[in-house]
Amino acid sequence: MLNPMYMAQVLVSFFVLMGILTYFLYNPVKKFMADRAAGIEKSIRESQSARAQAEQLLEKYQKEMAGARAESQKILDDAVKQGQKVREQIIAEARDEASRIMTKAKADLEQEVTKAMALLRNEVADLAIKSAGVLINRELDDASHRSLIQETLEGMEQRHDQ
Amino acid sequence: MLSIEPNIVFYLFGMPIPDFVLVIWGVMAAIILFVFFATRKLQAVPGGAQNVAEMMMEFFDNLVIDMMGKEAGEKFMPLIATIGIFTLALNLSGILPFVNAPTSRLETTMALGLMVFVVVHGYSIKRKGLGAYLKGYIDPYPFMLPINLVGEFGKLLSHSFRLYGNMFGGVVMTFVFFQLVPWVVPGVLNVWFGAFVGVIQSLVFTMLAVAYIQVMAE
Repeated sequence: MLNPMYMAQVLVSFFVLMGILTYFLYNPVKKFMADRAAGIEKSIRESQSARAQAEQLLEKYQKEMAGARAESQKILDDAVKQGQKVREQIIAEARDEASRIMTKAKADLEQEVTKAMALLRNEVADLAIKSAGVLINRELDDASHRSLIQETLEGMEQRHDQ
Repeated sequence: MLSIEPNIVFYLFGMPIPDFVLVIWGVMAAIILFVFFATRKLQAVPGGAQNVAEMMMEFFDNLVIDMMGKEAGEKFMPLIATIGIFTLALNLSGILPFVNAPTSRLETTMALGLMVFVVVHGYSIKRKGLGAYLKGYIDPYPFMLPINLVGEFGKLLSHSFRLYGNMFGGVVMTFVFFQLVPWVVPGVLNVWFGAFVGVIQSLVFTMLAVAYIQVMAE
């Protein structure tokens, strides 16, 4: 036969154990696990938020870097263009200057040549007159002499040119 | 080793304390000691005893919440977890030499079964109301009342006797084999009935308690 007293002892023991376990195991461990889960969830949310912020910052910096790169490239291109323009300008100016110097030099040279030729002509004429005067002893006047000499010189020049 | 009547070990305030109740108290002391060490310093990264305690909590939490829903599950979790831990520890105590599992005494399993029976019907009355609860016994037809009543008491008996029968059967088998071939074979049988059958029957007893509460509450 079942002994109700023993059954009561078992039941009392069971409820005592349930009370102790509820107080020392279920409630504290459950609360601890819930707090830990909440902490982990919070950490995950924070890390996700931090990651999103980091991604936004990265995107922003990448945009800024791309802008800066484009800006620097534009500055570089402008500088190259400006340099090219200055170079071409300097070259053009140098060419003009050289051309001008050459033209002036040619003109000066021609002028000097003309002057020298005129001077030479005069001297040759004077010398020829003097020589002829000595030789023919005043048979020709001065104007005739000059005309004769002029003709002679021009004939010499033509021969020289040929 | 094997006796129908329990051995009275001592008297407490004139009340006889049998050997199996003394084993129950010893098992309770071991459980309390374990809980003390497991929850003394709870760490964020659990280890050792705390790990075992958390695994038990999660197991029973999931079991009751999956079967009964969150609200009822949280309410019944301490009761169900205690039934599970208590019956498991009592069954495992049978492995110890010269100790019979207290669950091999009908007083133990019947007391636990009766407690579950009272909880099941009390919760059913609370949930459905007395009228609806009583009406459940004449569903689907009034002539089903005796069958329904027998069925309910049958649950109590089958719940209690299943655990008792398995554990007592283990004790008898171990005793018989101990008489025939002492030491080795009985030792293996003792471990088999204490550990393997003990774990299975503890799980069955606990899950049936949850199922009875859930079925009667619906």
